[in-house]
Amino acid sequence: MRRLNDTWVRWQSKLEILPVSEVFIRAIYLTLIWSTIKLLLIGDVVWGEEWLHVLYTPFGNIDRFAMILNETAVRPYYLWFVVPFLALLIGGLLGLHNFFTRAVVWYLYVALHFGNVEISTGGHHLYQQLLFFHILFFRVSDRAGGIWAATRRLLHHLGFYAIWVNIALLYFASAYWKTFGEMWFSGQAMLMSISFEAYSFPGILALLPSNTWYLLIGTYAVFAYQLLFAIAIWIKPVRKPFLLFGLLFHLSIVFIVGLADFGVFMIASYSIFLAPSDARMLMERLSVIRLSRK
Amino acid sequence: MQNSRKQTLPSWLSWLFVVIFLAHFTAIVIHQFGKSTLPGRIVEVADRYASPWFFQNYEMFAPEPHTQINKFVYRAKSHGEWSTWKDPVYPHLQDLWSNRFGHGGDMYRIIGGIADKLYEGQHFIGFLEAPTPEQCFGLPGFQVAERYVLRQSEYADDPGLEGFQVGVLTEVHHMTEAGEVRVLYLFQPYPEKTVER
Repeated sequence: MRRLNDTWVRWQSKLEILPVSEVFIRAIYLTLIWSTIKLLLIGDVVWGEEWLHVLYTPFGNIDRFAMILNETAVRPYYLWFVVPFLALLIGGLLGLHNFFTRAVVWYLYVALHFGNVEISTGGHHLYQQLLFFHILFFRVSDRAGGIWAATRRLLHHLGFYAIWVNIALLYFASAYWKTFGEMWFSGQAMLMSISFEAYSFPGILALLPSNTWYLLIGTYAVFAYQLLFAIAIWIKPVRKPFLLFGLLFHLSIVFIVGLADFGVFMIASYSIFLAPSDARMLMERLSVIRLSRK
Repeated sequence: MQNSRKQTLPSWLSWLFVVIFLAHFTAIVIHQFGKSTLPGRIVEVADRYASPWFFQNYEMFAPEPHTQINKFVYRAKSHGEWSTWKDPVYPHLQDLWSNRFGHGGDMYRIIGGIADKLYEGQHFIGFLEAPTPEQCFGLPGFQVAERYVLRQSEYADDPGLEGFQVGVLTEVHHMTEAGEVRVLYLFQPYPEKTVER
């Protein structure tokens, strides 16, 4: 109880995680800039009048604003969403962000994400949650006193660890639902996944007509990684090697499976697990913004 | 200690923040996992909270990885001649293979979405006693497929276009007892539709 109380006081007094939050914001903003520009090249189809998907507007009241790009009357004006979104992301990348800009980034992301559900992946859903919590990433000097500074530091910490919890939840949910199947237990899931040319390369079945020892190990390793993530991530000595495996796993999703958004978004979200000292060093090397030293 | 001198929130207020976060995650957990275990009323409240702003879908490659892929195909009648069946997604798939970071994968998934809707439409048609072409043409999948043919395909600006037909080609993979992948195909065409230009 005393330890909990000490943590509680520390969370209101100091913001040691600030460099990590700053690296995290830059990492996810950078990936969003890439993803948004890539989609802007086919913007008329993705968000505009040349849509090729079933528009989906099941909600009323304020919820309707989340699906606003599913309204045919709004779609011609999709650049009104994309351009400010990109501007705020670029600003954030340069360190120019505050509570208001972060909140607007979250809303614009929600609108653009739901504007075309066909391109959505688990990574897109995760980003929606992460961007919500990043609204709470207040920048407060360790020297600032008073109840307002304490409140903002506490909210920053709560938002920060909510992101940890949400990423852990993603992996746990992903593993939990796999336990209802058979192929993950029989070790055939990876072969089945990449047996489609669309999720690997042309001629894949001629190359891999049946399961191999490395695909079998890969299947079990991925299943175990997802099952253990929610626990392992809180154990400091195993965190780095564990995340290194995750990094390789998501790189394989980018280059083999071809789901680049999902893989890249997951890798960028791992920046939240950096140690504050590593994050501070990274920020200083990048020289984008000099964080005030304690 | 310097920190202990700093002003902190009243205990009740800091715990209130924690309770709000816990309530949020409780709703999300119920939204994710509660459907088969908790009373419908509770799940409904959690779903209403989570959707759309905090909607999450993490059933990735679960419970099984995908075992089938639907492909949207079409053919067109121009100047009295029917074309061969066209596969509009293949060029985007080639883009995806050559560049993992381009928009080939996005176009593949968007056009693949048309195929999935056409496939669902065929299920619906299967339940109709005597489906008419008009019923098929009114299905959401057919309507987006029609948008593709008339607005995006190579026939979009063809003044000689007289009609078109869409279909869905399903590639099903299954594992034999020997552990080998076998491939089956199912083709389900929709009725031909006349175009007046």
